Amino acid sequence: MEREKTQRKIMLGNEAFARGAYEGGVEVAAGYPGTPSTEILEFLSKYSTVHSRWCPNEKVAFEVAAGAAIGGRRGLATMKHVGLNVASDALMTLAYTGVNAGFVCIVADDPGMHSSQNEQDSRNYALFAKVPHLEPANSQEALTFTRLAFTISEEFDTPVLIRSTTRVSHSRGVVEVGERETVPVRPYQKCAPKFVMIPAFARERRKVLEERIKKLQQWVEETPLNQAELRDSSLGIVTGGVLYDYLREVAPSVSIFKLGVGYPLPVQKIREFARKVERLIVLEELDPVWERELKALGIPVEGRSVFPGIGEITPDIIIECLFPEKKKEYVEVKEYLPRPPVLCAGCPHRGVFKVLKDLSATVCGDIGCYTLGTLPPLSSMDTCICMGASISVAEGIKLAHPELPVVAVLGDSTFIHAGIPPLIDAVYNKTPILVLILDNGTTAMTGGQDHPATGKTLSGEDTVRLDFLALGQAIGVPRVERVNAYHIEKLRTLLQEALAAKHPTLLVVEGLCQLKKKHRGTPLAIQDMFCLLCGLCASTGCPAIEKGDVIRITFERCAGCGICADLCPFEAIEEVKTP
Amino acid sequence: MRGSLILCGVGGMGILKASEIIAEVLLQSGFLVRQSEVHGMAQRGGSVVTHLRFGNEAYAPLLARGEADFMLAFEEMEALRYLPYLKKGGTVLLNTVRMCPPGIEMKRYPQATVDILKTHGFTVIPLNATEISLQIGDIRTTNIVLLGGFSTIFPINDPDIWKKAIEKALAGKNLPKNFLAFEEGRRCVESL
Repeated sequence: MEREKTQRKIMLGNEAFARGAYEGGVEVAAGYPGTPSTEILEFLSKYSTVHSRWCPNEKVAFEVAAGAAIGGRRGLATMKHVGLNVASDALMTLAYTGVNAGFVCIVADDPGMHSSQNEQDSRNYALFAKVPHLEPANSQEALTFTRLAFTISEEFDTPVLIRSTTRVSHSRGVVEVGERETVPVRPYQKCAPKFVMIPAFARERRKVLEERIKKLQQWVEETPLNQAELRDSSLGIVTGGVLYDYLREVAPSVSIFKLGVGYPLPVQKIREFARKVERLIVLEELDPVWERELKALGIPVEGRSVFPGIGEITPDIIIECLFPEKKKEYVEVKEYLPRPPVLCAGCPHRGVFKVLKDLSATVCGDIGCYTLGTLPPLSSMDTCICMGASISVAEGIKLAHPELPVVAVLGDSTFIHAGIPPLIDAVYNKTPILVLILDNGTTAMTGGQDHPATGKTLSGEDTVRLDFLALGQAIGVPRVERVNAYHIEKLRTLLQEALAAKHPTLLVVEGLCQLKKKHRGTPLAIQDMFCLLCGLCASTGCPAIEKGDVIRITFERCAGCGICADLCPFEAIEEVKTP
Repeated sequence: MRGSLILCGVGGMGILKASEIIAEVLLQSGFLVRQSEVHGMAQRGGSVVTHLRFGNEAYAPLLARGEADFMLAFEEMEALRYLPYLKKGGTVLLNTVRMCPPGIEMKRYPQATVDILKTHGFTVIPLNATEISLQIGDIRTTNIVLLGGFSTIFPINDPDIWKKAIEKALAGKNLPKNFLAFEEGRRCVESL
């Protein structure tokens, strides 16, 4: 009894995914950081028996883990939804080859876009690639489903997708922890017809894929992962993932068909359930994936006519759409002000955006903290599409309007992820753009992960450090330089020169992420008698600077970066003197 | 017993850690717990909220509006923002500190939060946890001061259970300082 008690733990969904993979005997795990998936690999890296690594991007991670599975050891890849776009090339064909040892890919969607550029529904990838996908609802299921996914992968010789969402990955729940499964390493056997996808072999594997789907269709009818829960027969709801947990809370008496496997659907079981309820509704976030499938099969269901298809579905939305009588009284006041996230005080990106704004540059941005440079008062970003797109989109804009001063801005980790091929393109096709790598020495937005240019691996080991300057020179960029992110005037001069150039330029702007600095700089203060209230210091949106009747620097917030002091034309900003 | 609470404040104030500690207290007291949080922007000074539900059964990690029994507000204006989640007549433990969003003049900051809350029938327990933490000598203990105060109004108020959970969550940190923060928070709310 005592032992049982100690095995119950509260775990973040992502910690439970990691635990499930560990218990499921995973040996090689790879990923690229991306909210809300990042912590899976971070937790997994604490188990020293598992080889865990950050890769330059999701495609590489997916292929490393898939390769391990082909080689005979269980592999796991982790990523956010847009990461699977990058890895999808590998997924589509791994579905043909199948695996050897189990291969699982956990993909975390972000309905409502808490920290993403879109809210695509990864369930579509399961249909697209014809691979099974699992839909855990909470931390306990994150653990058990992940553990089980390796067995499913091996039994059917297929990659398995596990789809999480922000509310599964970033919610905590009570889990029962088990032991790690001992899985013998499978022998590696060369088998070209299975793993070499030349057209002749791929045509055969295409048939295998279709046979596999048929076997999976039988299996989904039997697996306890799918459950019909019959209660009140007036209403039946087909759902999965965290929405199941919401529904149990909001309407404990409705009948639920809980999908643990989202593809392929257990058609017979759902038909049977449909016969037993008077009204059948599909409750699903984002795309009407299941609704479409069930309607195509002639099963009369409602779905998008009841629930919205945009944004996150919350308990409030379920109440509003289906159970308005359960709405509780609440108080709403209007007196509060917005509080959007901002670049930290001391952030090395602040000065760069200030200069770009001053120069009225057309700024093609990328994915990272620096998208915060979009908002006022910096307001200095023109585009942000996806990882690495800053450079290529900048090239396109330059082609459309050669007279514009076009700058591509991307972070160190983002550059490594998808910025190298477009930089090669800019050199190869001689597009005269300026590329700024904002090198803050970490993958900041996702919480500060190492990458190939930090010189450390996920496990903290020292490794070869990628040199951006040498890389730029090897690519053949005509001008490659590095500059300190806090030397505003030097930065301004370099940017002006580069924008006037007739060739591509690469500037590596160096300044450690504020959240990674071990020591705080000496805070600054404004000497009121010299301050003429011009407001230049406050024009960068520094959260440490308060502008009212006078301008003040909040001592507790100031990181002492000195950007405001550099900007002040009256030299009114000085370090606070400590006695 | 079933219940729910909401924690809100500004990124960087230790809200996620405080939720983690409360969840652990509930687990050690034999309850199931579901809690949700949003990462990514938490350290960038944005608005941060976590939902927490407990009971013999607990499913949804998100609360519905009008549901939470308690609110732990780490900052005054954030209490107003998330007020819809609090049930009618619910209790707010309020850190009486005002953090003006960057770029906004302080005169636009809402005045008299306590009065607004009281007018709408909520029970308000003000506690200047930030000031207490500064007296202790570490602003990072603000969350633990608040937990100390909260432990006196929460159904599970045995300080030993709370201290164990704090010890577990803050492994490796300065425990005596945090225990002092906890005791100070407790003492201040008890003496109100």
